[in-house]
Amino acid sequence: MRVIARLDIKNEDVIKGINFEGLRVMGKPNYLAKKYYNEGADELIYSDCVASLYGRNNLSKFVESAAKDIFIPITVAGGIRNKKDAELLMKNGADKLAINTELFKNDNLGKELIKKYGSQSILLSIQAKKISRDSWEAYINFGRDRTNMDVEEWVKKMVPSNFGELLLTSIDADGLSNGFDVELYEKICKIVNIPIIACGGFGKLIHIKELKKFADVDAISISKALHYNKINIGEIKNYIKKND
Amino acid sequence: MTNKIVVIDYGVGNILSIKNAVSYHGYTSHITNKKKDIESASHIILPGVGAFPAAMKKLKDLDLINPILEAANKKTYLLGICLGMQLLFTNSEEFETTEGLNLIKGNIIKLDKFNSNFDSKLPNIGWRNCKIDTKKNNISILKNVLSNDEFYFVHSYGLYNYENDLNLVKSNYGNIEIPAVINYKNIYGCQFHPEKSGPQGLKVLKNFLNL
Amino acid sequence: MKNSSLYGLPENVIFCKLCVISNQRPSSTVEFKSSGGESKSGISINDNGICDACSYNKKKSEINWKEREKQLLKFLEKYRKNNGDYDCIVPSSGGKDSSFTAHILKKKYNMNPLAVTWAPNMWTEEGFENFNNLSRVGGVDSILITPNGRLHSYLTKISFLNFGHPFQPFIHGQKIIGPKMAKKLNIPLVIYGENQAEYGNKLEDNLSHYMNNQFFSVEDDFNFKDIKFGGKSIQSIIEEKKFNFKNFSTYLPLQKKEVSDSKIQMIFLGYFEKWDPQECFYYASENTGFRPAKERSDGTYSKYTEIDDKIVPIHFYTTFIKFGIGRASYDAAQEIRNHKITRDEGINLVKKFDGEFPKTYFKDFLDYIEISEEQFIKKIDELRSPHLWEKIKNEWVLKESIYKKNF
Repeated sequence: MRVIARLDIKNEDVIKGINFEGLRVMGKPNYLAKKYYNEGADELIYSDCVASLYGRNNLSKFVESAAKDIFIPITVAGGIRNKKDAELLMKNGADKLAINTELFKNDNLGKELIKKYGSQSILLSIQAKKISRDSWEAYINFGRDRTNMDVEEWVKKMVPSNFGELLLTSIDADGLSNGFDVELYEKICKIVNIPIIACGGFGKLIHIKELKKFADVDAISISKALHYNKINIGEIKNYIKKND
Repeated sequence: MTNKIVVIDYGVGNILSIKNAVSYHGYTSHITNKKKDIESASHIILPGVGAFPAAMKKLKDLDLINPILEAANKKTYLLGICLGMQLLFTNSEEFETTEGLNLIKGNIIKLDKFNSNFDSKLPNIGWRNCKIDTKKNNISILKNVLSNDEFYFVHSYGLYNYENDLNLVKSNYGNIEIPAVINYKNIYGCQFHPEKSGPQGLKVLKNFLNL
Repeated sequence: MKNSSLYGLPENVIFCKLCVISNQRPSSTVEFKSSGGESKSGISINDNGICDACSYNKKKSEINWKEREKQLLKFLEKYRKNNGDYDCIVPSSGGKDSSFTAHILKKKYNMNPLAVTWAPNMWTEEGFENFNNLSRVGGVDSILITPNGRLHSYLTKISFLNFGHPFQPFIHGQKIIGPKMAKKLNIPLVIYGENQAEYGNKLEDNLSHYMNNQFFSVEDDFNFKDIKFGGKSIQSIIEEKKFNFKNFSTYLPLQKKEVSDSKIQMIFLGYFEKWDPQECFYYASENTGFRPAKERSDGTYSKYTEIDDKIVPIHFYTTFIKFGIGRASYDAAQEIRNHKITRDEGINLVKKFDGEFPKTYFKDFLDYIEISEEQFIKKIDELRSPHLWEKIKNEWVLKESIYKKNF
């Protein structure tokens, strides 16, 4: 199970919210990225959280400087609208791109990018909010707008585009360190056969055990627990090895 | 002779990371698709991400196939990374059966065909170690690499058929074994991405650059 | 030159250089004495182009908060009860600021607060959850006062139809409920969170931790029947409608004499704590089970500000129509001052969201006050001051907006 460090970036800072709200500053992207790389992170996710405001992703310069001395895969998310946006990021050192909002306007974008960069480079990103005991709704614009689209339905519709992985984030669990939304992953793992990254809610090592009991996810993405120095990546990886 | 490190840019792959990884070791790399650079190279890195047929077409369109073949025959050190490694072989069945560079005999097939009971997810994405026998290892780019060092893999196809004299080290994924590092004379290949595998990946790259 | 502003606000629209608010932002008034037609005073923008709220914000950074905390501790000592009785009332909406206030008074300052909630017009789902969580999760005792719904919706209706201010009856009740309950329950201390002066009432209002008592009490010789809602006095409502004077008891403020006799003190915690609404959100999320709304509210990008009442979006829509300042402007101005976003981001947010039609709860609002969509649109258009609005190709357009000016 891969351990991925996620950095939500606004302008020059890494921020961390709760339920995708709030802009509390956590530090500088380059500093935190290096720190997590040195602690043994398997991958990094750079997420532009104000991309929808400006209509574009603004992270290429961070990716470029990270790529200079951080040698693990970097995924970039947020505001990737078209081939041009994708190209700029890939050119500057991004290994993978995650797309969400734009797919609701142009559901072919995935296919287009996959054709150019390959399946393994393009991730389907979903921000899920629980709306009933066993259904979730997909959100866009960094958790601010509803789509009225059921997550399960959306997954079934999009997966045939051939995305390499699914980055599935729980809005409800985000930033609360109370554990993953296990039911969400349990449900979605059953209907897709591509690697799934669970994102949102990690606070304690036991949360990983609880998740694995019900869902066969391939990676976990962590932000709050790392930014607040509650745990370091080495501890998480050791725990995963021990409990395999 | 001073080293001239060439990274072939044929529009496919994360060139920047390779460039940065090479710089990390204090070397300069020439990112190029010019025949004369390839001819004068001491070390050539062939990256690759995406689909086999598209990559071969790009090499063809840029007239790079012959320069690469000639360099290989001249004993220039050649390192194929991920798809770049797959291109070194005879053919691949990705999308349609496409011919590769055929520098080494072998076929590339989809991982789920390696074993009829294969039930893992595709692509194979993750950090895996290589089954290195440190006593018997004779692949020079794996010098000082430990058997529990993990490397970053991301692929759906792999090398399946090959000749007995191909030197290689495998990696496990689910219930199959995938050739992870190959070596044939002056030609090397990594199915994983050494430029994305942290310090241990950098070690492998360094070994190659020091050849 | 005749002032073409409908509300007596400055004719020229000037935007603050630091935030996104304009000089059209009206200051708080004593709502229940208003019969309409009075000129409103807008927020001051000084010669350097800085608004009062931003000026105060600058001063905030110069305050010695350690000193203030010492003052608070000393002050609270006089009121703290250790025998299980409530020693302070915290007027609470269940929102982030009041949840922060109530919880921190209990946890950090060892007080025994009773949260007092004046019910919103119409609870939103998340609003009601958050209100309950203050007790369930935050561990704060609370009581809820829900006024007579038939009267309240009627008052809301006339406030909207007469003034375009549907929120007036709610605000009225919210201002007086703290002191009223303090007197009823014999709890002599009422602690509010933020001082509204932070947002641009007169700067002098910020110099004290005491609330200006004109907002919650009346002169001893004041005739309660003169209290006005939507410009209509209780007296005239009684004469016209099926309500009696006794129906209005919840709406009657205390008399000044009652306040002084019961020695009730009303203070702002915001005088003693460096107020940051977004930090209140974090605190409340982590301590009182506060959750933001499912999605951003109509007219703004925010999910955590004022999410308890379904008519809040309508309220902000009317401020947009009347003063050219919508919800996104208010939210952005606050976040700019607290260094969460840059002014440039604020301008973009205003451009994107300000004045968005409040569609989510629009039907609920129409049903609540029993008017038709046509009546709503008609009233809205009557509220447009000619100095702010013009019609271009049959669409109403703001003459001035911060993203047009963008200086």
